[in-house]
Amino acid sequence: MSYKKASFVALLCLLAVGISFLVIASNWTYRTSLQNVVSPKLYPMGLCTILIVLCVISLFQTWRRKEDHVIPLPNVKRTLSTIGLTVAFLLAWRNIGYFYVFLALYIFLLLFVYQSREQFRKIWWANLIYAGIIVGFVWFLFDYILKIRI
Amino acid sequence: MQYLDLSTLFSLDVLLAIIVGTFVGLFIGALPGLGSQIAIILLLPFTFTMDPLVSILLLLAAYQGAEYGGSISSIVLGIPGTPSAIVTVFDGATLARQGKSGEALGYSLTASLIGGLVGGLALLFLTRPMAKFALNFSDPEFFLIGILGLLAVSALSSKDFVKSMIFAVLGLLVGTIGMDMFTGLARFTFGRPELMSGVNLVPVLVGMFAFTELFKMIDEDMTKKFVVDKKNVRIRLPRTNLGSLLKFSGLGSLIGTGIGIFPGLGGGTSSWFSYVLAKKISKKPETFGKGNPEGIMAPESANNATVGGALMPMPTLGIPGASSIAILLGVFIIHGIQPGPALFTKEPALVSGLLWGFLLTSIAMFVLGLFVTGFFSRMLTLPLYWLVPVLLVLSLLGVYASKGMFFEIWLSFIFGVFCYLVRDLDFSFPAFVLAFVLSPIIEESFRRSLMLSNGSYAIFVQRPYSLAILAIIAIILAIYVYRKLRRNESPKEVIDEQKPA
Amino acid sequence: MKNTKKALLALVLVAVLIIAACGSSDSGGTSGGSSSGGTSSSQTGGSGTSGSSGGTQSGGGSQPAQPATNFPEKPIELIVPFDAGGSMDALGRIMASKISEFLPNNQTLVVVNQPGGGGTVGLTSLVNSKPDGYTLALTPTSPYITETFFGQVQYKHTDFQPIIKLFQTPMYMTVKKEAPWDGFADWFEYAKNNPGKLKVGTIGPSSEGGLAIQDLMLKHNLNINLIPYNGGGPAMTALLGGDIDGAIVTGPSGKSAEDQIKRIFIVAPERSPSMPDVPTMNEHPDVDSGHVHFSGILAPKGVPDDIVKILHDAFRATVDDPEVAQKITEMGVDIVIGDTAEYQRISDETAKSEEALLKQLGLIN
Repeated sequence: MSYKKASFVALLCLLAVGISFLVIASNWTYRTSLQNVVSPKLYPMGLCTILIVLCVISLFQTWRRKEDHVIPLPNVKRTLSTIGLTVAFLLAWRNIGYFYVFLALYIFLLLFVYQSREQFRKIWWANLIYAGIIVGFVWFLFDYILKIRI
Repeated sequence: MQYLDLSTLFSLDVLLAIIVGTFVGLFIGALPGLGSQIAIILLLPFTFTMDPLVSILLLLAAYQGAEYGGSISSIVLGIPGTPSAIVTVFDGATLARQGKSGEALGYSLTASLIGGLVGGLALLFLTRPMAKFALNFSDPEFFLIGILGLLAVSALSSKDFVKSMIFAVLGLLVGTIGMDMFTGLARFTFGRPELMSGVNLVPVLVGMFAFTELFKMIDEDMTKKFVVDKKNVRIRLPRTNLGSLLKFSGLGSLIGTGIGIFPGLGGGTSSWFSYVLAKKISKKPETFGKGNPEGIMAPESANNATVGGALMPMPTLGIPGASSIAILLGVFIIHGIQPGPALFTKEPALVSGLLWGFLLTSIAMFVLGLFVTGFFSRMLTLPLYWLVPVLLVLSLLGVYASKGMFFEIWLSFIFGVFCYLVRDLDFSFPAFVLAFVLSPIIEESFRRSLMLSNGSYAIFVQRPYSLAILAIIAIILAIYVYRKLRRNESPKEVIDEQKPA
Repeated sequence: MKNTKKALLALVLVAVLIIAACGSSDSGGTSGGSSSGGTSSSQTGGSGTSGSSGGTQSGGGSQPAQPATNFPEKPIELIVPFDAGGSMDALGRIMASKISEFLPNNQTLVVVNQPGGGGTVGLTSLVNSKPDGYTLALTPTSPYITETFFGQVQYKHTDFQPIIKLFQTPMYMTVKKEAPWDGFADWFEYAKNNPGKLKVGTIGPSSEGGLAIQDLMLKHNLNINLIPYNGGGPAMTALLGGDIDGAIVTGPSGKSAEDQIKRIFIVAPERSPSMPDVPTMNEHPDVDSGHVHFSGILAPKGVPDDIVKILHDAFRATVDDPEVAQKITEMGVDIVIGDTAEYQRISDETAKSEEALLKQLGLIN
């Protein structure tokens, strides 16, 4: 994707955020029994306005830009797989439980994604051990020592 | 000074506590997402049965250790381990990727030691006078300091000024999320109670720096390792041009101590301010961001000095300068000790043990740091396909460990994906974070100032300190405009802070 | 050769994982909650699995119908809806350190911090957890009652089962030592005669102390500038720095410069046992405004009565213990125990009066 195009998209998204937040903020109602209170809507709405203005300026600047370059996006598949696996892991952990099982699975699958086919076949057992070590370490650090409910 | 009694200090308990605390702090600080606060909370339960001096020193040692530990991760992995270590990534990780991680770590450690010592000395000698001075600062001054901070943000902008400002404004906006403290209005919380106290720094930090960095690693050839040459990985203390570097360290320490005193401003803010200032006084500002040790020494000293600074208002005012210190306050209370000015007279031995012990924690951090760093540096020799999963897991769990809110993991991850997508578009991440941290200070101080003045804006020019800060702001703006006019096509100070390599 | 070794290793690993999985579903008791139950009860609604998946026990269900005579069989979780190191947290941990002596089976109490929303996040989590007596919360009045009227939390105070009322944290009108007022009467006169001159700092927008003063202001037509701060510490700094003329904060827990301040009255109907010389607002013949703010232990509604009694007795005994009592009083917190029925009664009363006051102040409909 080209720098200009990507910038356009990003800026448009931010512009949308600015506008929607402005609308949301303008609809707030509040009550106070204290005196001399500056409205809690002022600051956020002011910021949204500035954001909108800046986005417009930047959009204009991007349009006028002469120089452009391509932003390489290698390995989109890997990135997407990572995101997908992470989301799946989080959902499984949250809704099903069995944290350690899913954790091990998550790590193992990540390794599957990150290594080439031959590499994976060669050292799949090392990967398993590695997953086990991480799980063990996580248990030790977070459950045993930090006593955090997982 | 009646509190020169060192006898309580050199008992086995105390020394052991300092060593264990430092070690734990180093370790926890080095893990992304887990910062000094977690290190302290982790050790908290152990302190209930310990003697109060031992408890406090244990926790302080952990705090110091974590402040340096965060830098290890910044340098070795390019992922800040603590909020105050973000700035260290700019030059530290760059240096590391040039194969000089040992040196970078050396600079960091030395600077941290100096910062810790300066902070400790300030604590020892300046606590009483400082406390009186701090009382003169109130909301109008805090507001103006916040504005000053925003100016520092603009100095950190990337090539594209407008885009950096966009992110700064975005940071300010995200800082408003939560319940308004003056009216109780829930702002931008979308019905989620987890957002009522606002977005926490840890998910933002981990999302913006850890996940983004990890996604970048995924992009690359994952069989590669960062450093193949194991020799350069051992920590190397700086030998040459130590003198000039000390100047930057000193600057950082002073800034760190000063900022630490103000509640609400912590290691993150102090490391930034000192980085910006270091750049201004450096003879080679354009090398900042490319591996200039000056850019490591200043912030590293600052963040360790901040620990000392944050401790200063506590004995006299009973007010913590940072949230981690607030936890220490809790420890005092649980042990039945009342922090406050009476402490000096009621428990002189405790106070002296505390102040001198603090100096010891800096030394401990240095010594232990020498040993521990090598171990962490080895992480660099792991191939990426093994490094990334560990870091992913630790980042996810680190966010969870911070406040126990699962919601924050989602927040952090989604934010991370977003940041990764825009990473090459010249938006400024540092601007966002600093603005985010400053936002509540700016807004609350402003509104409260007006409440105090019955609605009159004159309050900002009537007070001497406000005027002083306003003057500083005016001068900075004047210099900036002047420079811009002189050089028509002024190449703005460019730091490529998003790509340390 | 190599292949069999690998296969063996793999088998060992799978075995380890399976054991870990079984271990994780009852989570070794260190955190007092199972893996699945733990996460779900720390969230609010969301995917709707709150408190139901897996449950919070390893063996045997604890449906309310069962006579749980062997309660507690495993550690009890005490949610502190505030950050570690704060005063609620300290109170919880002080009690946790001694309560094992008073709990049947010598079980332990594990403190879990769930900060956020001024205490509302922790209470939301409590309300969604299983009413089996293994999840409790230590909470002040604010998130439990006051906050429920603004329409921003998902529970009402009636969603909870009060176990025992333990503490009262008195709030005092604190002024500088040189201030011209020595008690409530002169301060009150000054306030009446000097509208708009007084600046008083409070904690948060609708804090307990702040509401009491607003009640006073309403009934007597006073004009006082109330200024919210982020906590007792900043308010005290502002007082000492001269920004404000008075601050309504808690008593001496070391957070104040004792020699520079004095306390002229307590914002409550009765005097505090820890500072009996400080008069209350209500001693003045015209005034009836003081509010009571209390902290206690809550459980979700539906906990069987016998478990409630066991918990009540254990906490009462713990707080009666002289060591515990001393540490607590040194924090400036008053121990004023109210049993289950009393806690329920006072909660209902306070809810009614606060709702009325909030309506009068125009803060809610």
